[in-house]
Amino acid sequence: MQLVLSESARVTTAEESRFRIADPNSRPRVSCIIALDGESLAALKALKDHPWNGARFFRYVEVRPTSLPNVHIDAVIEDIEGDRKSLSEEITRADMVVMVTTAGSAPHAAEIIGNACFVRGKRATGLVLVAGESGKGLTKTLTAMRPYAAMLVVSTGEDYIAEMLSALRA
Amino acid sequence: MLRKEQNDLLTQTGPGTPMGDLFRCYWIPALLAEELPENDSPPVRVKLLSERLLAFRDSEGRYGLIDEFCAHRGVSLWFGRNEHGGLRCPYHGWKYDHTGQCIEVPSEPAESGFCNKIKLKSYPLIKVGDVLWTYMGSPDKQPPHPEWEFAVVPSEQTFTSKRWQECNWMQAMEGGIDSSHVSWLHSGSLDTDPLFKGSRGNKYNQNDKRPFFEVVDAEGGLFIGARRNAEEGHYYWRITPWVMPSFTMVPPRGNHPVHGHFWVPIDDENCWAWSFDYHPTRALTPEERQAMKDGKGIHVTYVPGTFRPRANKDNDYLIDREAQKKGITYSGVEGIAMQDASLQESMGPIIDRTKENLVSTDNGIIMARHRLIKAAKALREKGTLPPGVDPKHHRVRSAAVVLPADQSYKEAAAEALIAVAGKAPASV
Repeated sequence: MQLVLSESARVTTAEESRFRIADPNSRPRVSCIIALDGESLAALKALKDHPWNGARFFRYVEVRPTSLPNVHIDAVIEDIEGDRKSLSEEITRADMVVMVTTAGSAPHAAEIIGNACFVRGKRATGLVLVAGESGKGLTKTLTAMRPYAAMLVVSTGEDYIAEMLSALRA
Repeated sequence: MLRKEQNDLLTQTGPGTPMGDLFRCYWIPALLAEELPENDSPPVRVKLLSERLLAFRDSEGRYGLIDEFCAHRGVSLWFGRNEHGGLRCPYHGWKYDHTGQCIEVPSEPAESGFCNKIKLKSYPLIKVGDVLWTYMGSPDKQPPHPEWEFAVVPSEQTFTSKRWQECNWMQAMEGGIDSSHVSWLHSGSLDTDPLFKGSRGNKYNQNDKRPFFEVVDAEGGLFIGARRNAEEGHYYWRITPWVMPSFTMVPPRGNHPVHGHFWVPIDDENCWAWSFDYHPTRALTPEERQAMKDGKGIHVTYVPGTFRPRANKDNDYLIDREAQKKGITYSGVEGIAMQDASLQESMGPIIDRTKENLVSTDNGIIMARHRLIKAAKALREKGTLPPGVDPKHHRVRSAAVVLPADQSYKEAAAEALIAVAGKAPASV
């Protein structure tokens, strides 16, 4: 007969949960969320007043030439207020980079942002919004983004942007 | 991270809760058919969605799932006598049929009709495959019977087990859609487990330990694709379907049987982890069936006479630090199922998700939570039937395929992800 509870049995009760450390276990992080087309920019604009933890919202504007021929690793991006910024600088300070686009567009920007993340040791997340389950042009968009996004999400609901960013503490 | 009210909504499934209402829209696994092996066999206590019930099979083979307690003095009918078309309370002889209707109150004259006024709550209990399923929602909204492929293939092609898991259903289920833990926690099992080893796909797994992921909305839930490099210009995809509320399938390996799970709440701090293995086109071999009974693959061995795993929290999951040190097992716990369960139970009975720090590869989990919360609210506010109720959502398969780099798995593997009788699984 076992008279004493094992450690695993003792510490996994609801009562023991009360003694877990309550201090915050993470610090605020910087998230860089970039719209790659007009529709996704509108979706991001609708989110700008949420209580974010350092999330910064941008739209992709144009590639910025670098000294490397045929390798694009920088671009001009613009924040919601219309101020232009350097993609490379924003990525350098970001803990998380999210690209948002809609099905049907084949964002050349994904390659530039993906490469810019890669050379700085960051992994980008891609979120593709589709109107229906199949999403016209979805394959084209996914193919364009796939090599540059460590995680690609295809969502039929625009409300998922806020849900995902909130879950990731953006 | 979830807000507390979101976490409460997802984890509470008792009567009257939003997630409880959602679960009550579906046929859910209640017992293994073997638990009621013959007419008039002993009744079985069943607790589901925080309701104490009793299952029995009467003299005519009818299955009943009724309130566990006698309406007279609250005695557990588990002590009852299952005889002559009903279950009789041993205390004063009140007798109930499979619908919970009281059919005899010995102390009252039969002509009084007293027993007609007594009826215990009951739910339908049906046998599909090796499983007895129940539907705990409104009778007028009872959906068509389940059509999951593992349950409808011939019995020689399928094997189902269940185990008690001592934590909330949601944290258990999230393990089933969290493909990124496999390369860590279960590393080693691909080479050694008889139900996994030997496939070409394993090599892709081992050569590329940092998969990329694609999560795609589906009508019944989600598809979660894990992508690894294959031959030049090709990707190896492992595609996991999640169907609401709690069904997942693991992508197949070679010609091994394909497996998957249901997670069903017992109460808010316990759940049943249902595990199935089947092959769509052939009988399981005696060796495969024996391996499943021996707790290999996603199955477990038990404390005799129970569905509690032999390795459990009371014996610290038989953790073997030497095996952990040598790399035989990554966590020191043996067996894929208990490697998962030990860690999920270690989170506590209900994990506090306000403190977690998810990363982008957790998007499968984030999206599943989002879909569940959305569906529970739509059900409550508008009466919208949730995804996964329609049997056409049941006819899914997992798949493991090699595709050209410019193809999207949801389209290129679309046919492979639909269960069609007699069609071979897409496996590498």
